[in-house]
Amino acid sequence: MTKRLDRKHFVYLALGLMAAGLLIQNFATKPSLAPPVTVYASTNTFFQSSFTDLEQAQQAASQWQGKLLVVNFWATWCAPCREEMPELSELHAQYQAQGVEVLGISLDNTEKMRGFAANTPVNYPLLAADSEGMAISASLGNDKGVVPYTVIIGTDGKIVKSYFGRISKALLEETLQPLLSKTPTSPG
Amino acid sequence: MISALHRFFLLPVLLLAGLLPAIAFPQPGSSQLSDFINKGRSVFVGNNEDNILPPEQAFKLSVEFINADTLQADFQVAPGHYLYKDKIKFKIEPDNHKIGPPTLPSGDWKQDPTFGKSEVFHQDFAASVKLALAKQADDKPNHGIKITATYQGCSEKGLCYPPINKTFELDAAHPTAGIPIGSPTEQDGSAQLLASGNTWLIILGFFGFGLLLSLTPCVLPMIPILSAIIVGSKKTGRLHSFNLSLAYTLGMAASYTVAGVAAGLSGQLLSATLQNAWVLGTSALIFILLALSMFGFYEIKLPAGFETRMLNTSQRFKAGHFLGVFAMGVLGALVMSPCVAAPLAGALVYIGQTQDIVLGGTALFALSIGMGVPLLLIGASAGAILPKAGPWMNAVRQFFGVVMLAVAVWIISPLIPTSLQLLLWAALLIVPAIFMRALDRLPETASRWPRFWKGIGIIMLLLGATLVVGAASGAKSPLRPLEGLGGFNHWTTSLPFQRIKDIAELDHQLQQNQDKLVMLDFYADWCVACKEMEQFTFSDPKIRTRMENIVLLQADVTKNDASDLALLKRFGLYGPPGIIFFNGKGQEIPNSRVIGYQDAGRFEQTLMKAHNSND
Repeated sequence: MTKRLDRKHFVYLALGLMAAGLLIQNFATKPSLAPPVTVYASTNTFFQSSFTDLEQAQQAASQWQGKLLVVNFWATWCAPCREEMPELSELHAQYQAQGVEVLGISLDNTEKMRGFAANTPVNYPLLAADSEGMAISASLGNDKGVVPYTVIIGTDGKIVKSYFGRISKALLEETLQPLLSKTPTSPG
Repeated sequence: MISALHRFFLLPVLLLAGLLPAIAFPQPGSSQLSDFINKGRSVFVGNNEDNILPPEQAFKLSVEFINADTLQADFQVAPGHYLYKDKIKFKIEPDNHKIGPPTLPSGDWKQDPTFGKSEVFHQDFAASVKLALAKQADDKPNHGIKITATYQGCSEKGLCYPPINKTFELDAAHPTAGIPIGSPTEQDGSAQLLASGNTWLIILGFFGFGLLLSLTPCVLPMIPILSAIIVGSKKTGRLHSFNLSLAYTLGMAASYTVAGVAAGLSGQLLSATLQNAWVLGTSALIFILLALSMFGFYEIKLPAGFETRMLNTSQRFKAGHFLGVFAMGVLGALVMSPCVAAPLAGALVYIGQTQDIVLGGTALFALSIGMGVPLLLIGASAGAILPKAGPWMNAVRQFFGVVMLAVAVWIISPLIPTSLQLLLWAALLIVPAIFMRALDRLPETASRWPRFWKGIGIIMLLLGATLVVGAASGAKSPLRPLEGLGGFNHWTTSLPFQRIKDIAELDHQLQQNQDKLVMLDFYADWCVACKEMEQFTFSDPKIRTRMENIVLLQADVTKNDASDLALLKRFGLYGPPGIIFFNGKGQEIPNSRVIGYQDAGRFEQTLMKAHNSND
């Protein structure tokens, strides 16, 4: 162990401390993401429900049965939900052709949801579930009663993964991509 | 020792080197990168889902009358969660009664990317609401009045809870004026400060904490050690000695930060980690080696072959010194850990609950920097205060050697039998006393100083002798060496603690002792503070009388096995010492916990508070 080595270590250390400081700042401002979890719940209730869309029309959930679904429960009063919506839009645009459908189910009433969508449009269907929303999300495994809650439902109608809390496009892609490579793309 | 040094450095360097690319190429908004970081984080932190609190645990609310027309609503916000101020609303039923808008304290300002600035509460708070109750026609008291509180909040983890409605029947809300509201304990204080989420305030607060801690006697052994380093260094000069003390402080800070974050992450028993035999033994050994070099048995230096080269390259020598001093700082932090148990536990409880390891790490770093301030001051002044080398320096060096040996004995004292401890302390007093010529005849012509030192030497000799007697007579503490000789023994009647092993036993005991105040004490053989509590606090006659009508339970977590860990985890503790009070309904009395050592006076206050809130 020569002295030269020691000094080098010391310089590393000083650099390291500086880096740690920067890292701390970096971390402190980042929201943490929700890891995927496996929940055991039936999708029956969900596929039997219907929601009000932005045009005030009733939409039955059964019409999406058989697609690879990303169901995102959100609310206008929920900041993390609003933050992740642009990434859901990106996801929808990129994978729609491969049979992936993103659905945004709002816990608000139609009016509030429309007000929000007018200011901050997204490219995937937004559906208002109003007071039923929480019960439907609970039926899909949201036992904690939190939003955002995101469920990926496979083409067989079974829940693949769930996310309690903030998600990102990359996080969802991790679960989606293996499913897409397995099943041949069958749009429509 | 060299390999130990290496390990100390390699770990942080490797860790940080791995993270450096993230710094070098900052790509704000790149989801890939943030995902990468977050993935790494969730590997360390484990599954987040387990730690999502159900809404009723994230936010708790209770209401009570503070006078006839004013209702106080106490909101409890779990760490890492917050409530929106403008979403807090109260309604009253039936309609003929009126309820005013709630009076709320000012909250923290939270910057939301989508909502802009909003006022939120990260901590527990109280809201007061004015009521105007309509008089009943027959002047009977009001019945069936319902108050509904609506509130909505989120978790810093990036999720929100839907608006919560909680309804209270006013009949059920008993008037409860007159309960003394206990001041939060030390631990609660620091946990609350962290929960407020205001980063700069946290850093400043913990810095102040550290500064206060540096005034406790525990830190005092560090000051001579640091001075020894400065004395021992060949170069003098203000800047040099300041740099040395800075290196020491940074070493200390690194140690605390790493230990704090690591313990928070693993949820392991902190005291067990820092106080296991291996760590204690190693650090004691290092202190002994350092002490021996202070006695001049050898110089801690590089091999002689480098000696001449080093004289020419004094710059490199300096760097070597910094490294050694840094390592000493790392060890010094471990030694001091019992002193900082309370604030450390506070910070770690927070880290454990919110998993915000970065904030916790920052807080601990600030804490240790605060603790280092006096050391820095000594360093900055040492060049001026300490005169240049002279014959007296040998005496100073030897004194520091003795101090270091004392630190070594103190470190390993939990591991060795008391009688051996007493003998070691005796040796530490008697041998230096002999060196101070305590038993040599003074010449008739002796000047003042030798006489003075001989006096001191004799005192040390006598103290040492009493310790030897104590060791032989079975004394239980070096501070009371002669107790074994006394006519009556304080310790023969130890307190009637009932041992419990697991949660089931605890619940059973709590059920059996309905309507009684129950105290649960976490104890372990290796826990120094627990033994101090036993010896100095529980033995106090005043405390004994106060404890007579308390059900005393003790959990011995020496083994630190699964059921011990489960018990500790239930109370969010990382290790002993910890004392928890339960009221007659088997619930923990808020703000009554004791973390760390309390002397008889303070513990009496704690007992009184626990009594009051149980009545």
